[in-house]
Amino acid sequence: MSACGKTLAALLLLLALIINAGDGHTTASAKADLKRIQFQIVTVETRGGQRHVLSNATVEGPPGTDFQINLESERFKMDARFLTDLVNNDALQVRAKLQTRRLYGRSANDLPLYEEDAQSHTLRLSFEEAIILLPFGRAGDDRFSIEITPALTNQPAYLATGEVTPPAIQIDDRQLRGVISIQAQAAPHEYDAQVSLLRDGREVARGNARLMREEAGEVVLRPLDPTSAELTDRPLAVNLTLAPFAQDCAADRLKVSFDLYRVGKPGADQRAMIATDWQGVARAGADLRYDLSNDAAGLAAGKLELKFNLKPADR
Amino acid sequence: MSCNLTEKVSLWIDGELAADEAERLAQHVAACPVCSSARADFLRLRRQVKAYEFTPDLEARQRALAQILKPAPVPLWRRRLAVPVPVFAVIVLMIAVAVWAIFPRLVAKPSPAVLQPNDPARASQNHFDLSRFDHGERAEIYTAPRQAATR
Repeated sequence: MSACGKTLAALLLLLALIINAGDGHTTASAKADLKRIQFQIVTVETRGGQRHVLSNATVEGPPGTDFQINLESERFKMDARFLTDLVNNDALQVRAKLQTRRLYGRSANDLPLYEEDAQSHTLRLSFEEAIILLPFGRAGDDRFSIEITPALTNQPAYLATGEVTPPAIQIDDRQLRGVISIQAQAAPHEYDAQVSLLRDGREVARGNARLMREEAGEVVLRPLDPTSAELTDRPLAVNLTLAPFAQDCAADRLKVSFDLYRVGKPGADQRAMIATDWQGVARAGADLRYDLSNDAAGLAAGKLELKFNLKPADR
Repeated sequence: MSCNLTEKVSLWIDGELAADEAERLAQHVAACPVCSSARADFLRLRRQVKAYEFTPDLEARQRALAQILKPAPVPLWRRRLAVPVPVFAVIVLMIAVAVWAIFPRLVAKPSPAVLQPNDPARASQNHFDLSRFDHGERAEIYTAPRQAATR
């Protein structure tokens, strides 16, 4: 290589290093620029056009902070869960899951009868908007509402060390003490799931998917050996749902629920179910295995295992 | 003093011994003072028994007669009742009325749950009462401009 060529190669190398460093700086800078988000949660009684604030709370945390509002009285119970995501730094996507239970009456034997309801909504709102939750609907002159107003703060979401700042809650519930409670947590919403089929410990098929927490997603396992007809014609697939294992457990524990089936042949939309509503608890990054030897009918003999590996998605 | 033939003396007096044995015993009794005394006692007792005048006890006789004539005990399940026809008719009528009143309850299906309105008194007095907002409607959620929300 000539001196000119060496110089050119060195320049190219230097340029690549500068670009890489710039990218890293950009990522770190983007993280450093992220601000904490505050949700003001106000419960209001409106009577005759007059607003009367019953409680006032703030939940503050990094983007992706989730919170839960619980109402519980003698006859009525509501669990409202809000999974929030910052979109383009100027809007929020909020997945709201509402569960209510109302004491409907009592039976002839004086046993309680309940009316239960579950709703899921995905809301998109700017920081100029608020979420209005009416636990009892709109009927009546005396209305109870929960207003959730998001705001970007000036507080950084990440510490200088790169660690995420924890959520914080402040609540003034003097009038609703014992009736309202609020919880918050910051846990990943998206996971990269890798599902593998092992035969005698050797991986023979694999599928990958990015899954949103608490939303079912299909992962189709493609054979690593394309000549494997049994897995090519009717590949295995998993309908997978991930959810927090429990509110009070480590955030890296996930409840895994899945159906396992063989996908129908092209043109035929029939699934051959192998397992329905299997469940387990996985630790993020660690393998979770299921023995399929007695269940995967139609597959060649051998010790068959299904392996899950779930990791929080890089954002 | 005793003699082992004394017992036979009673049989001899009753004429229950064979002739030769009776003859031998007679010779013995003549020579044996014990048996001779026993023979004298037996004969005296016989005379006294024969001389006893029997006076029947009427009460005892009636009791004995009643005992003899008493019918054999009949088990409860084999006894018979004799009821006058009007009484029997009343009993049948009462049974019919009872069956008419009870049978529908026995064959009736369990009634469905009866909803009873909630008793306001059941509501806790310690907490803020949310029930006044509850008109049985479904929860609702939506977004609104911030100004409208705070109105």
